[in-house]
Amino acid sequence: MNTEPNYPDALDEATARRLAKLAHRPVDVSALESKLETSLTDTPSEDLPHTNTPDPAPTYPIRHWLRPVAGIAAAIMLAATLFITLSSSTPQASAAVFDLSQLHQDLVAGRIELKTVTSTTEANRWIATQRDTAPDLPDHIAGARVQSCCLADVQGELVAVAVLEDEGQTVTLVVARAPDFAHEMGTRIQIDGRSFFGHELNGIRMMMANHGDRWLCVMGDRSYEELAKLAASIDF
Amino acid sequence: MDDPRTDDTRADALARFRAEAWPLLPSLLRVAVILTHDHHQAEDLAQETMMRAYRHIQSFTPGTNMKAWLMTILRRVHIDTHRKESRAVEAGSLDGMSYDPAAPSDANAQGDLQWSDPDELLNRFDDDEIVNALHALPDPMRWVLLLVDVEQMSINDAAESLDIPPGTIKSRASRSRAQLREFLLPVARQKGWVANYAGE
Repeated sequence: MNTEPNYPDALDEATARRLAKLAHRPVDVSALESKLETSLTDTPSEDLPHTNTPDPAPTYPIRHWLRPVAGIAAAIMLAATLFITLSSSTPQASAAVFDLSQLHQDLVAGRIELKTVTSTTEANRWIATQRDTAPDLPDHIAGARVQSCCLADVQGELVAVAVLEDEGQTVTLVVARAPDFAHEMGTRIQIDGRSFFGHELNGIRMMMANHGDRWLCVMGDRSYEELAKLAASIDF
Repeated sequence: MDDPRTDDTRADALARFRAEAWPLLPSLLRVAVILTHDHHQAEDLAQETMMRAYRHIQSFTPGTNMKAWLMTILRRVHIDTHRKESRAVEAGSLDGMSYDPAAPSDANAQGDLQWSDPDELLNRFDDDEIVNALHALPDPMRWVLLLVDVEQMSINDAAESLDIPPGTIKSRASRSRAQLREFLLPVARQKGWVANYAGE
């Protein structure tokens, strides 16, 4: 019997004792072991641990966070703002920037349910239990404190999201596996030979970069330089 | 950073999976059998859980509780597999969750009076009858008893696995045991155990 719980009475304790005896029931794992051995042998290379192939399109889009009226108003603002700030971007990039800024706004406003965590390691453990194909968050983020995480869908790609506190400001980190998330347009900042590409929409600045097979974006009410510095500190 | 696609990394991941997760197969299958009431379905459930754990083994922190992690995945896979059924069970679980042994109903109070030697009476039930009663519980209650009482996980590990506070685990475990006894009592009456017992 579990020695840790404080049982309120003898009846409760006896019930726990009887339940504990179920653990002594014999279970035959031989067939399961054979199936697992076969599965491990037959596992395609893209399904092996930590391989970074693109996922199939997720089933729940970011659009379900958007309230219709707010979405229409934001779309009007988007049209005007994008014309000025992102005139050289592709349509796909613009849509992603819009979705990302909306994601950050929803997170800050508390409109998205978040899992409270204290590290990306803890976040990754939680993510692993949620969606089989979810990308991992980085192992190392210098200077920023991880507060919470969730999974989201941006432009048909499943992304991992971490809410960070960086020098008192809320910053959203988004990680995806898809290389086509990379944006070669926008404000470019180079740190240690790496390029970071900035966009701004509705007062939210974001810095995007490729990191191996991953794509990441940090965004919030911070300068391009601060965001690029934070993004450069991230390591997988 | 290691290239995750190197053979070395894969070999490390497989070795780690075999060393840490594989020994927990009996626990995983035992819980799966209780959840599904069907050995073949239980094997499928445990297999999918293990494969999902294998694919994400790199995200597991060494030194933390592998069993709690596997049980979290098992629960998620079970929900994914039987989503409609689970929703129905959870929706129907609200009455069960409001059961409070500290303020028992008349029926509960009368029932508890008949448990004056609870170990003796509880041990008369065979395992299948206990499992049937477990299966009748709402999902949240069943999971707490599976982890804390059957699998002997600590309150904190169970709380982490089920993503609820430790205090909730304690109170829910107590309510769930009381509810379990409620389900067992009619069986005891039907078999004449309670009447004979009470008359002794």
